[in-house]
Amino acid sequence: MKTRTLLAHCALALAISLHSICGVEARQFRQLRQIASPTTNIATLPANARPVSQMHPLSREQVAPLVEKVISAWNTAQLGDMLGTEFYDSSRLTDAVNRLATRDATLRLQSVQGVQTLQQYYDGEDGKLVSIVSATVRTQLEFNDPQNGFQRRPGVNEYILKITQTAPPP
Amino acid sequence: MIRRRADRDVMLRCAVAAGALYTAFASADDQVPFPGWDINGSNTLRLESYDNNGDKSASPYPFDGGQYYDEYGLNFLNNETPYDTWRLQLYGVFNASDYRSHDRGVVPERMSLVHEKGDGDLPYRAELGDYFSYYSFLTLQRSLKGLQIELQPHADSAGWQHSIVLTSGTPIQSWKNFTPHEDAVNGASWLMDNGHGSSYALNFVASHRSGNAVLGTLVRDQYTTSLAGEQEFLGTAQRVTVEGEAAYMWGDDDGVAGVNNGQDRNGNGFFGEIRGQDLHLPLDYRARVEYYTRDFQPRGGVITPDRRSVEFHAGWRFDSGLRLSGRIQAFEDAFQTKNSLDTHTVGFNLSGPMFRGTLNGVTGSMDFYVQTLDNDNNTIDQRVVNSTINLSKPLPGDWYGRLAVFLQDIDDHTPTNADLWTGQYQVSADHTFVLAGFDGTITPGIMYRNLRNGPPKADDWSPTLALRMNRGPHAVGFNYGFLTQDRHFVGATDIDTQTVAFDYRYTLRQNTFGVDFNLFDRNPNPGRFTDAWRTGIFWTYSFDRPANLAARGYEAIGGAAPAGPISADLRSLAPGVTLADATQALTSAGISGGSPQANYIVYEYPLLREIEQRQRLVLMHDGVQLTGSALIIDLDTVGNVDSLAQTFEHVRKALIQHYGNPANNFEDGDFTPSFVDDVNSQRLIRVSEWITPTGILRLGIPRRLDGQVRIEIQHQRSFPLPRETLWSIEAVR
Repeated sequence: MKTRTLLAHCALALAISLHSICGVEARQFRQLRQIASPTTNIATLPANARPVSQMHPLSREQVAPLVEKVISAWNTAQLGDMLGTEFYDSSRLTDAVNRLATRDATLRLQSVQGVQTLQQYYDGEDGKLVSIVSATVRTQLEFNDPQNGFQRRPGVNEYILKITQTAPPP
Repeated sequence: MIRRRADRDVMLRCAVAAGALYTAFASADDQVPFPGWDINGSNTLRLESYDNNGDKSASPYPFDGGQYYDEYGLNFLNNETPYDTWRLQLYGVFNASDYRSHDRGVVPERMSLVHEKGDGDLPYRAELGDYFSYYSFLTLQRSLKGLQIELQPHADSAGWQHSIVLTSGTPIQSWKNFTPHEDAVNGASWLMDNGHGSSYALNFVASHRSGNAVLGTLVRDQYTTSLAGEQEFLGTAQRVTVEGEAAYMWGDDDGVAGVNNGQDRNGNGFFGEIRGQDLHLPLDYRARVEYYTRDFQPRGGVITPDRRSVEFHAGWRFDSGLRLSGRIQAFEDAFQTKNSLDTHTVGFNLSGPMFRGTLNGVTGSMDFYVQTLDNDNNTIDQRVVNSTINLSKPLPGDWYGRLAVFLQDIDDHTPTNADLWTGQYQVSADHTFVLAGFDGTITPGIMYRNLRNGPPKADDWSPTLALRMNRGPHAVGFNYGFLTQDRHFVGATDIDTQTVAFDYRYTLRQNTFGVDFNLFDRNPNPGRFTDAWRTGIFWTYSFDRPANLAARGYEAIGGAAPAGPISADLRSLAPGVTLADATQALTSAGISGGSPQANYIVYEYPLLREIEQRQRLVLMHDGVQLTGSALIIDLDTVGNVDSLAQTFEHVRKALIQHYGNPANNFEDGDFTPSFVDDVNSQRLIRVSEWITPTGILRLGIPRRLDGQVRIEIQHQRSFPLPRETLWSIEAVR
């Protein structure tokens, strides 16, 4: 039961910056994503952001190493850093992982399945490219249970990632 | 036997698919499908083998033998006008691997077609296939398969912009077993926004799930409606935003005490938040209230039913960049039952640069909280004290150190008295080096963990070593980890676990070839050992075909061999000219003193007199003939965007004066202060091309493996597509 709870939390833990789909900090309902038109050619985006002239969807090869990074942060102090600042119930999630997960529990990335770039914009004065990406990921939770030995729990979850590119894609 | 035959069929399809993609996109002629569309993507063929020895039940790899798949990702884009765009994304796999997907054979994973049209009377966005539908946290926020249309009438006379979204889809994950009638979500959302801090939304979602006798579920039809709003207030000292949403749900849910218990229910949910920041002090704050009844279980929402909570957060940013934040939270779960669970938390967090003045260069975070949990039945009654510290600091000798500490004390007040104290300490450091032409990073580390007071008393040690090296197209990675778990209680099993991972990849133009290997070795005492291996090889082919090239085609630029005398001109220094003739021509023009470098001869010579920057003329040869020629133009000031933009335009203007208008121009991205990153991440692309009798004369700003940004003019028989920007002469630095 505890493991099931953990898996449920895994699904939540890695849905980073979900709010960013609408480009609004903190808000819990959708924001206008303005359709470019001759009279309103500016998409509604976060402050200091500007739209891309043409979306360049990220490839699975670009997304997979970043997902791996997120996966490896699970059950570590870095997990909190991976969550968007307005991630729903983020502190409750990290508290639960801290309390319920055995310290040797790790997540193994088995495969990155479908990848879809949902939104893209330039953010900040230095023009970093921000991509909101949905990825379906297959993982396996592994740990040594003191009573039952080695345990593995596979699962398939959807992750919403906010990916900021400041350097060549890995 | 049947499965093996099926797998062979799948692999045959993989090979055919990979070949078809390669044929379709390796050359950009006008015979390829979708002329006029910008197409990019990749295809990866991966062959893996898994093996286990010893106790297979303790292996992370439950499936032995060969595991194969070919995965593809395709993106199509068509901009009819800036206000009329089509976008298609197709991702999927030909699968014969138990690890890659539950489904075998042809597995479509993401299919999405988006059409945006903003230049009509009624701007709209239509999404077909996979899309992410988001109304609000209380009503709908999830990926669906189906159709979604958004209409955005032009702003009304009062300045309010409206958005109406109509949604119909299914949350089923797989296209392979697509049964939308069994699980359907339909909805509508009307949003009003005045662009000045006022926004309101009215949402409605209806969902249907079929009953399943095997799973013991009933038909569940439910309806959720909500009203949400946000209003910003700007005072002289504070900027405050108030947000709230009230929702009501009626119909069927999963039930709390059996499936029948979930029929014909109703529930409501409420959320309210005030957040703000002081306009004179570095202070921000947030107060939040949530209330969801037990039967408020919206199919598309992300909230937790049967829960109410109050929380307050505040943060203060110091001049040094250090941020201090605190939180007070009270949650009550299952509050509509006789066994509610109360959780109270008080905590603070410090993050950013630390110890300024005493230990400069340290950054990181420290987090501390105390949490109590107790329920009415007293089966849960705990106090948790949790502290984490994560610090990093640059060290002498190209080292970068990290320290991580995790301390947790669980004091259990129930009869089971499941107390536990955990202390975990970890140090590691990165060291950069250059070895045999490889740029590398090595990261040794060690972790010690101590569990006390509870049944799992233990001492754990884990040394680790990571290595990463790159040289040109070569990339190597290695990871080693050893974990020994020494447990001190009756009947305990001590465990030693080793993991090894190795990977190598080689990139050749748009192809990446790689091998990787994983070893898992587990030795319990007492118990039976487990050895598990995974070995894989892969080939990734990436392609990017801009629409304008697809429409024009490269075939038209061929021609006869060069004729006439050779001159000191890139057009004359053409592929096929003998090396002797070329050097003689340069000598005649007064260009000498070239320095040979492998298959290149490099002359410091300002071929373009109009350009002041340093220029190097390069002859590329195979020992007998020229394979091409080039002019490399360095930038005056590295990092100066104006220098790059102006120099590029001056060079292009000079070439136009020499050769006339280019046959092809390809431009993407703008010159910005981050142009070095933009060039290296292919967000800034400039290519102009002139047709010559033997090939193409290309001017551009290619991406280089060493990250250097410069302008190059090359004359070669052919080039990769403009979006494939790794065409620089790497050997000439």
